[in-house]
Amino acid sequence: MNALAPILAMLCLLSWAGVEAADEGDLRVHGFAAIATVHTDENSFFGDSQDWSTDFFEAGLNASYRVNSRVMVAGQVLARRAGELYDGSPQIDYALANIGLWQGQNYATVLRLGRIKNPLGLYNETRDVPFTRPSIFLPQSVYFDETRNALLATDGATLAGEYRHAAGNIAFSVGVGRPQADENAEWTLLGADLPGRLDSDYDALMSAVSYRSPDEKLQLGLSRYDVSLNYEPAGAFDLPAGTLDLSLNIASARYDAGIWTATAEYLYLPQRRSGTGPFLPFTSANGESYYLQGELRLGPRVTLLGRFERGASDRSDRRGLAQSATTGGLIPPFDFFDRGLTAGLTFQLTQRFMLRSEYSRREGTYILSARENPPAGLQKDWHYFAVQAALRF
Amino acid sequence: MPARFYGTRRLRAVLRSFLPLATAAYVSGSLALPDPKVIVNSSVEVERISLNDARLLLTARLATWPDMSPVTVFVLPDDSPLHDDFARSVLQLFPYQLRRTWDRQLFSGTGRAPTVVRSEAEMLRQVEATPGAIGYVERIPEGVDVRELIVQ
Repeated sequence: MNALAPILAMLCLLSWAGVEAADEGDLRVHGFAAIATVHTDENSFFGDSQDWSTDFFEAGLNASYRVNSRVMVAGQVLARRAGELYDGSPQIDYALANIGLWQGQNYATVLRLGRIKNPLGLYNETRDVPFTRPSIFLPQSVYFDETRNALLATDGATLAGEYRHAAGNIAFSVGVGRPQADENAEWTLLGADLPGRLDSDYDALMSAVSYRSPDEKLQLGLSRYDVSLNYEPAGAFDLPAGTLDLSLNIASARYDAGIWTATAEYLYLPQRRSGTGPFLPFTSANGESYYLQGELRLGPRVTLLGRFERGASDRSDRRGLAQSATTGGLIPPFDFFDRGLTAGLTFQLTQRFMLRSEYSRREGTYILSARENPPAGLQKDWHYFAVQAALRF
Repeated sequence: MPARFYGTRRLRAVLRSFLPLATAAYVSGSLALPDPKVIVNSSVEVERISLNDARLLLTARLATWPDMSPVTVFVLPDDSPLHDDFARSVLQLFPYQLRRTWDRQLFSGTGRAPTVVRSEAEMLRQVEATPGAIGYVERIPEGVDVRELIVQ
């Protein structure tokens, strides 16, 4: 919070002072900032939400520079506070060089080097920019907040290309590099912030392919991210060293019909753990989640949203009974699934300023962080209400 | 009578944004407005482009002209009636699709968004003054050194 306050204040000041997105020849500078308040009747979601949390801030400042007709470099600093999970200290969100390789009438290819956002699903690449999301919170059982950093970006190289044809455009992206594991990944994947370190000594593999129809109304995509994280124990009283393999597979579909847009995404998430010893009950689980979403535009400024979500940490145990039993009932069955129904309203007041609110009813606590919610206090049925104000320049 | 044209265009934009697509063609037909014109800086040697290329240029996915000189895109604000009309009738896209593509590029560092100008007059000035520039206007006035690019 302390680190974020000056950045947020600066962005607000710049925006209110009427500073335009800087556009000096080849250098461009843009930014955004958003603040939200969240209320839940039970459980904690993005802060101490049973008491109107204001612990959800997002602010970013980016610049891009076109070196020549083939090369563009770009970077963004992101400050994000999200309850107990992220403290708002500025991070390098991305920093990369885009190098145009082969380009022709019907195709283009580009090599990207640096910290590259993973193009997973429809939203991961720009998931922290409110103006690029349909709602305050992305569907959490597909876009988990708690393991977001491990899936957010890759430090390495990506090759991306696009092929245009009368039957539609095909785009692909393949990448390799290091993901960023953090203590939230430990909480989620190992159940606590343990003395040792969950690290990413292995390269992750990213691949994505998408199709757009010639009229650009239909978009279909498949994306996959394979990550191996390794646990380095801190001493004799820690877990033994082990590895955790995650594979994130997302199928996406979106149809734009003008006043309405329909979106659906499906996530299949197999996890395998080996070597970490007998204290961690689950050695493998196959997570499965999906959502169906409709957006209705009531004119250029107002959009309504409705969303139906389902998520389970293991598709062979959708009610969580078997998983709960292996913890001796310490973790309740409903912590292994999520069912959600969400309604949202967005006002795009001006090009720069947006107000949004949403209400969501949930059954199950799969989308909540153990870090904010000790298992003993979890409540199965809960809802949240949130309001967010966002500006950009 | 640019003022009256502007008013009609706003009406058409409003009707289009509220009515389903089936009636949009009827609305645009019945008001019989000419489509907005795509303009380029006089340095640009291309005269005709396909609809797909027009979309690639305006979404900033195609960053260079065939001679490898850089493209600079100028657009009016998202809520401008002329922008709405341009997106729908020339590019055959919804304005929010353009915004989504620009924002995805801009906020992931993989591309850029066009420069937003406040008025048609500024659009003409910028396209006239910037080599490799592309934009759009309602009509091209006398004495402005820009060229029309035909989208087919």
